[in-house]
Amino acid sequence: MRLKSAAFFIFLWYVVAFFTELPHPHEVAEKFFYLLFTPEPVLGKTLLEHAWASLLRVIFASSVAFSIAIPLAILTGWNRNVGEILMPAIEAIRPIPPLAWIPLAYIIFAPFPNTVQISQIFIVFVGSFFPCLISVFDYARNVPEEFLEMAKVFRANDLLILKEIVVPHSLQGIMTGIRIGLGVGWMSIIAAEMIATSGEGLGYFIMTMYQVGGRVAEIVAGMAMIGIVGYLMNSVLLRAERLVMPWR
Amino acid sequence: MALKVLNVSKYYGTLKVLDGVTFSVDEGEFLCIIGESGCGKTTILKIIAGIEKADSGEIVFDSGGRIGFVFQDDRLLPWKTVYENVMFAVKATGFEVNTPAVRETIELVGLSGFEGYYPKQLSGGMRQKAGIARALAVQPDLLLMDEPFASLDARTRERMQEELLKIVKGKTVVFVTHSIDEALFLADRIVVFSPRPARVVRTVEVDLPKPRDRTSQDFAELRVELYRSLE
Ligand SMILES: Nc1ncnc2c1ncn2[C@@H]1O[C@H](COP(=O)(O)OP(=O)(O)OP(=O)(O)O)[C@@H](O)[C@H]1O
Ligand SMILES: [Mg+2]
Repeated sequence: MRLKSAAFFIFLWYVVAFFTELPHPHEVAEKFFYLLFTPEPVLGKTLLEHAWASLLRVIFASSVAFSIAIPLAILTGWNRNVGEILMPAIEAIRPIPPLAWIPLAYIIFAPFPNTVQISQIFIVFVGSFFPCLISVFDYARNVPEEFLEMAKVFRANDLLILKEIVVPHSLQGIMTGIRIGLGVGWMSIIAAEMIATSGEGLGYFIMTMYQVGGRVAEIVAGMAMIGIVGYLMNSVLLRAERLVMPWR
Repeated sequence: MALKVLNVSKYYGTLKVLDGVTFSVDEGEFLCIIGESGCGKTTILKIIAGIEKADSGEIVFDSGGRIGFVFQDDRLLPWKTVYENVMFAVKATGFEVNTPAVRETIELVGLSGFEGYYPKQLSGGMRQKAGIARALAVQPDLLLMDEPFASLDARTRERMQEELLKIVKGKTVVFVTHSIDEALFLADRIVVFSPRPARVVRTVEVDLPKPRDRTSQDFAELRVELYRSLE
């Protein structure tokens, strides 16, 4: 099934490439594997190094986002009073796309020596924070009433309920939140790298390849790398869900 | 006397559910409450357990008030194994975490070997046993059971009733059911609730020795009598 789908995709690509500027799949594949380990001359880095640079930024920024979003979501989801104060504000900020924060980020972080880097991290933070928050919040808010009643019958205190009922019940939301958050973070970093000079990173690589004269094969090879990394992140995390939640 | 329920009334909004319910339970007695669906049986158990408030009336515990509750649905936490589910109640009650005692309780209900199983991996009967183990693990002064076998097939249900009598021997139990046969098999005394709003319309002593023979003449006569009182 997957093989068929891949074959169909490549066929379609050839058809489109035949009529447009798009390079043929085999040209891109050749460039892709060449650049994987051989530095591309303009920036002096391999495709793997660019991918790694982008990935590190995402992992760092998302980790910060998750470690704030998850506890916050559990607290607001569980305690309706806190939730009612916080959620409307969050719902209002959430629809703003991460990239719209760039100009503001530049101004806020201007006093720091590496404004661009910090701003990029911030953009990813914004991108991964909200999906994670919402996903965890949904679960924490919807802990089945029956379980809470059971806990009450046995006189469980709030800490025990939090630890052994609310958090485990929210684990699915945490896993989904991390997966979606990383996905959005990954898209955000590529976009953020395209806008500003950052020396390395897949977004920066693609933009540079465009600016030095429309090197189409390199551009598409870079795009392929973005897709592959995103796909791998997603499937690794899907697999982790089964390890983290053996009861499902 | 272990527990007195005195003139308890309860409304849900404008719906009157309990109308001056009065009965008592002796120390070591197995009391069954029987009444039709929706009459307020679960409600009175919740009020006794202290998770629902009565609008008027009183609940008096003569000995300790620690309660073990077995629910109509099993209410096991799906992310916890049998052992961890039982342990949850132990921790909630504020007991020392005592592994051998928990294992003993699990063995008592006949689930040894299944301590590490998740609820999803158990049959319906085994899940109810796990729920019973959880209730017993808190060493309750009073065991409240809300139609724990209602979802089981007839044969399993009868077997569970037989095992239950052995497990809770000597304990004070209030057991809710709407099965006359179940009440006749288990109870020392049966309290009959009227349709909603519930009042106690009758109390029937069941003097037959245990274990009871469901096919005996005495059993049949009591069954007829109870059917009449429920009409
Ligand atoms: N939390 C609640 N809010 C409003 N009404 C409720 C609530 N809980 C129960 N009731 C109502 O109170 C009445 C008695 O409910 P209860 O659960 O005590 O019945 P029951 O005798 O246990 O029935 P069954 O045998 O079907 O379990 C029902 O009419 C029900 O609709
Ligand atoms: Mg009920």
